[in-house]
Amino acid sequence: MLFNSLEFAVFFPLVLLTYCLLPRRGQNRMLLIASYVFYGWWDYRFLSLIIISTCLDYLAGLKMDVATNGPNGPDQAKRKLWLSLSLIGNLGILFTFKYFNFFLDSLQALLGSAGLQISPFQFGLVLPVGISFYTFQTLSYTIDIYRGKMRPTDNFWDFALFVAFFPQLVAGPIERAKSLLPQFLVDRRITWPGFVEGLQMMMYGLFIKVFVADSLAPLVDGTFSVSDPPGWSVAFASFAFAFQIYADFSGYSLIARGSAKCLGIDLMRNFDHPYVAASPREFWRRWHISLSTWFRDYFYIALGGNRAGKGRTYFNLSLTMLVCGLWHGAAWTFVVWGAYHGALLIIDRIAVHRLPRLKSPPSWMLPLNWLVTFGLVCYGWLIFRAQSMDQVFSMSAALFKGYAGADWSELGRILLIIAPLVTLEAITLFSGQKEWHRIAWLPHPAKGAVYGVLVYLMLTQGVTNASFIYFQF
Amino acid sequence: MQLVKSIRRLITWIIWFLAFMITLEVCARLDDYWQYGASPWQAYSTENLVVQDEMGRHGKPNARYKDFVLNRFGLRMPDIEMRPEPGKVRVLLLGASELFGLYESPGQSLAEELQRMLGPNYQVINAALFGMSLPRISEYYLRYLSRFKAKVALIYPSPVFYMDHEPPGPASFEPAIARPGAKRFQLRITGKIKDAGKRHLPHWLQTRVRRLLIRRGLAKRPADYVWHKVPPDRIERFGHDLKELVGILHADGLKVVVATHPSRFLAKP
Repeated sequence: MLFNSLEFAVFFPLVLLTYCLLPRRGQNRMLLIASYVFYGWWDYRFLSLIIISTCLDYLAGLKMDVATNGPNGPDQAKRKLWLSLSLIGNLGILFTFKYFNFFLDSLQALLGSAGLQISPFQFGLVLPVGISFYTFQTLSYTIDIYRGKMRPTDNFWDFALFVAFFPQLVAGPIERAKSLLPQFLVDRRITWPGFVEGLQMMMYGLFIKVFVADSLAPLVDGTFSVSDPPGWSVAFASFAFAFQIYADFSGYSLIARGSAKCLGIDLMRNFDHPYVAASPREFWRRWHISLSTWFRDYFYIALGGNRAGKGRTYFNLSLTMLVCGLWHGAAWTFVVWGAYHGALLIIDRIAVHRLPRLKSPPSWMLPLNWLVTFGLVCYGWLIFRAQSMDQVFSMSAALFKGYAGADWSELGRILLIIAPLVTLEAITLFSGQKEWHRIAWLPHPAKGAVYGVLVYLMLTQGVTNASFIYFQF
Repeated sequence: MQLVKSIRRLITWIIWFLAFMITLEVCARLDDYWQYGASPWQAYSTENLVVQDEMGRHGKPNARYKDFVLNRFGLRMPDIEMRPEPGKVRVLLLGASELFGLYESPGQSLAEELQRMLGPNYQVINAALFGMSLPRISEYYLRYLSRFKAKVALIYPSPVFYMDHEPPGPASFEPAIARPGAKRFQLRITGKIKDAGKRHLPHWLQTRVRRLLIRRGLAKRPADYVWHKVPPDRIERFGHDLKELVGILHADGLKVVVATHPSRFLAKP
């Protein structure tokens, strides 16, 4: 079920109404059923994978707790065994459904280039929606228990709800068990201000998805679907895609957070004005925060982080970003995108190390830093959006030529579409607010007018039932 | 104290809602202005394309409504000269909304399709106008269209006028008198919301809504309001009016082609 569909427009008020009428235990059961309905709407067979992950991690959590608090002290071997089972089980499902065919294809191509022809067996599997998101979420639970950062829950149904909670099930934010699970275990009160804030988040999220992202999509697709686009077209499309993916994904995250907020549950913030970043490091602090912090806490730090010398730090950084790229999709373009960002982060670190002034640069340098960072990020989006590495090479080459006869009206169209988003983000930043929907200083008529403009643009220019880009991950 | 608070909150919400609704309407008007050059201050509907004067009801010269643009003679086609070009046969299209192309995308109207099919030796004149019953078309031809000296006329009569409760009467024109039903102020946002509904809502839901509206509309009508068979006097009337129009055109020396209406009315055996 898509957030921008008629089905969700019927589903959500029904869930909300039922939720208000039930006590907490009933609320959790109802939310679990609603979450399974929400997910099963795509394909009910994929529910089996969520249920397997849920059962495995629930059991692993309890067993690790028993092994930790046993009468003879912590049993490290058992703890490791159950953590390994959880990791193998979850990552095994993820690998089978998402990466198996990719690795076989790559192996076949590698052997083929060495003159060995093989035709390996392939699974005819469809990628289950949001598998990477809920796998990472549920893994955070077992890893945190293993690290002693939290105790497991003994209530299976509440844990099942933590794994499958519908607002963030298919595209995040990837919540930590420590912050989301306790919210299911206490009584929740739906307050009027919270409800209104939730609706505002949903409204703004829907606007940037339906108006900004979906209006930019045809412009971007037009360039990426032709064989040899001119340089100006590639440059405009990369610029447009930077805003398309931001509006699409942050729009989804906002609707997710807003719908959870309406139910009295707080989800973490996933974006913090990423395009104002003045360095690659800052960009990753602001972009897809729930994923970047997940990789930092559970992968980068597990590899040793920056505690084992410069060389090892750079290696850890590269490997983390490479895996982060692969997390996005089973294609070499994503791996290269991850490697590219890894390289940017390493260069940034080296530059800051050699020139400590860059750590807190003078204000006159900020626009230049911002421009360079934004340009580099946009080029990264070209790699991300390309359908193959061949396309990456041909488009990259085109960027250095082919600017004669540029259709500037296309850039004008892109600027016109992103204007409301940029304006609202600028207002938010300059007003010192973290998020746009929290602007309280506007008088009520002005707020009504702003929402009027947003609703009008959605109604007349918006596209419905267009899928979210991050659903494929 | 609590009551005062509640009233204050209610007033705040009313102000918010009013600002919201006014903004929607302002956006609709500005949008029409930017897209179609429509004045934000005047009424804006298909009636902007029509004028009623001593020549009868006809298209308003150089009028524009959304994507519909009329030429200096009030015809939905590029500008033409009054006299036909030598060697070119003029084909006059006479009909109502379907032929006018009210429901077709620009470039896809029957007139444009026909022009493409006939080629450069013919000049197709789209003289159709929505709301034109057969008696009105006769009047329109006699008073306005005969000067274009067409050789062929294609009549595409709409039988819908004969299915209404009252059949079309003889054409009458009221020079420079505003139609009594025409409203000076109309909310433009309602039309935009309807269009958005058509684009965004699934077809099954739209069909259900339409059925519901028809059922509601019929509930207020007497039992014999719906015909299950077209009354013979209406068919006779339609035939009479059509023959009259064909007679007028023949008398003016035109070859006449009558096209049938594309709708199909299935009758149970």
